[in-house]
Amino acid sequence: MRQVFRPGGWPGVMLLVVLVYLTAAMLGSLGWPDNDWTRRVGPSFAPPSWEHWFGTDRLGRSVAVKAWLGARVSVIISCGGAALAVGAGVLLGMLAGWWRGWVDAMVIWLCTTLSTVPRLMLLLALALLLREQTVFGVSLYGAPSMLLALGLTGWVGTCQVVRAEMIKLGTLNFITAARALGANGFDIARRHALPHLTHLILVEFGLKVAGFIGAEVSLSFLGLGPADQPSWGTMLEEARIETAQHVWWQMTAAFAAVFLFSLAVHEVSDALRDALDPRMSPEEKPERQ
Amino acid sequence: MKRFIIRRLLAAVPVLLGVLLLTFALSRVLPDDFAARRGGEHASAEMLADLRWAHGLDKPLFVEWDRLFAGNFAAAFDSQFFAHCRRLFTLDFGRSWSALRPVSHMLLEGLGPSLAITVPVMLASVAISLVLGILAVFVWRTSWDRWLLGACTLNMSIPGVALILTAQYFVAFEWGWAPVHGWAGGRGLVLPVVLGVLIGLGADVRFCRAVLLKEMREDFMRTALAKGVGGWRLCAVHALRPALGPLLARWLPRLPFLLTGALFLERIFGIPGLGGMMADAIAARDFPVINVMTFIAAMLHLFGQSLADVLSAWMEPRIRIS
Repeated sequence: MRQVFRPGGWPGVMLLVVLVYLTAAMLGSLGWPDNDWTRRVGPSFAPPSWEHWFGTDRLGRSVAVKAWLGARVSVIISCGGAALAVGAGVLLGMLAGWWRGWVDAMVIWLCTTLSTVPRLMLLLALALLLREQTVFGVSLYGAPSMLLALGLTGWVGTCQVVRAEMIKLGTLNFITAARALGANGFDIARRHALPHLTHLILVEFGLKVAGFIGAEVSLSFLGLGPADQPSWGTMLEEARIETAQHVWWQMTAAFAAVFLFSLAVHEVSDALRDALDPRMSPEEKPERQ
Repeated sequence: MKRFIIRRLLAAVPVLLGVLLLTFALSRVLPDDFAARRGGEHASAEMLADLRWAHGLDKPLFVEWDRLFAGNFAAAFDSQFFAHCRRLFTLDFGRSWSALRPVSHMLLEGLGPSLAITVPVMLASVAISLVLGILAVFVWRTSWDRWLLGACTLNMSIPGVALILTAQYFVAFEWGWAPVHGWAGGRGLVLPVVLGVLIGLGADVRFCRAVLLKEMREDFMRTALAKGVGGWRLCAVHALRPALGPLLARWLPRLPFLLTGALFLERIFGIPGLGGMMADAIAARDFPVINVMTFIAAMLHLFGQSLADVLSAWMEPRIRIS
């Protein structure tokens, strides 16, 4: 693993980029560089210059600050949603793969049903539904509803992979030995099966984060995003009208921000899969320096 | 083979039931009180009750238990859920709540524009990703392979929306190579179709490449090579045939894409298709339209998946026996 992510190589660079984005998200939450992104810093639609690196939008707000702070929304939604999806998928996959029988049948039925309905429609419907709700006094408007929607619909692939792995593990001798020694299902799952699933979980998490970044942008573009924080999707939505007046900088800033983050996460999760997946033969893995 | 087909169709029934339940639940759980919304702020209690009766919302959700226990089965199942299922299967799609037009009319109107984009996109995607996948097998272990995979990753990293917006701005607006809006005649479709193909290409090419490379390592490929089969025939004929199973399993269930896949393209290029109709319906809580579109999409997906399974079983007899 250390060899794959060594400092000079391409995956190492991509890992650095991911870390930069995570830092941007954290610093953005703490109020650097600008605590108030709604502040008017210049004339409306000022083109990029040394003073305003990415220009200003219709209300004179700095596009560079918006793009920087957009990382916060993106990181929270994609990582949080991926954690929820992978967590739910691993849990249900382990249950289905271990217990088999009617539990397995129910989980497979749930997986098939959720994957039959087109993903975008399900996401839209769920996000719109969750937006209006308030759970334990916390309003779900904006980012939390998107996080939940992505998490609650994205677990199907992970579940199927984990279930297959659990079924395979169940046939192995050391699991049978553990059962003979009196270990119950929970113990076996935690101490014996989970360590073998770790590489799968990591790879799935990487894949999900990469997917959810794009999904978050698309949903924010359709208007489901947070209204009180800048997000790359809402920047693109604003850019739709701006470009009619030849104002291209907000669109470019949002595009560059999402593209770089998404590329970095894709590369890192690819490198992670190359390093961790024992089953893929060396021929199928792309050549790395 | 017949037994396999019957088994496969029977397995689709619980999934269909699940989809019906899901669409029903999603629309009924939406927190709006529909009658209050349609009636407006000054509706009297009688008007609300009338509205509910007119749309069948005064019936019980699933089963009327009293009538069931009394033995009156026909009336017991006179509930919202069964009315929902019955209407869907008799193609009685009702009227849209926001447009007040019959949903079937809206469907037929939106079908043309949507298919005009999605059919070329699907065909071109399949063709191009197959060709590039076979090409990847040829250049495997050379630097071209790395470039190809790098290009695929780049492609997968660009969100569809961002690509469509940027392309529309630069290609159509600034440089004037294509119309910015609408689908008047053929020219307005070129840019949306090209973009639609580009958006999904990276993932598909990687998948084709992986599947074909897996087949290349099989023993029968070594035999074919020893017999003197080379180059194009080796990849396109001998490797492709067993690879068709996974490939069909990936592409056939994408039938719903034909109807709703071009959502962003339609929205941004102003093409009046089904994808945009669906997005508007979800935003407006237009239950009849959501209901019908989800049902049709799910049926198409089920059909595509069952067809892919049956075709795989026909091509690969080992699947039938397991």
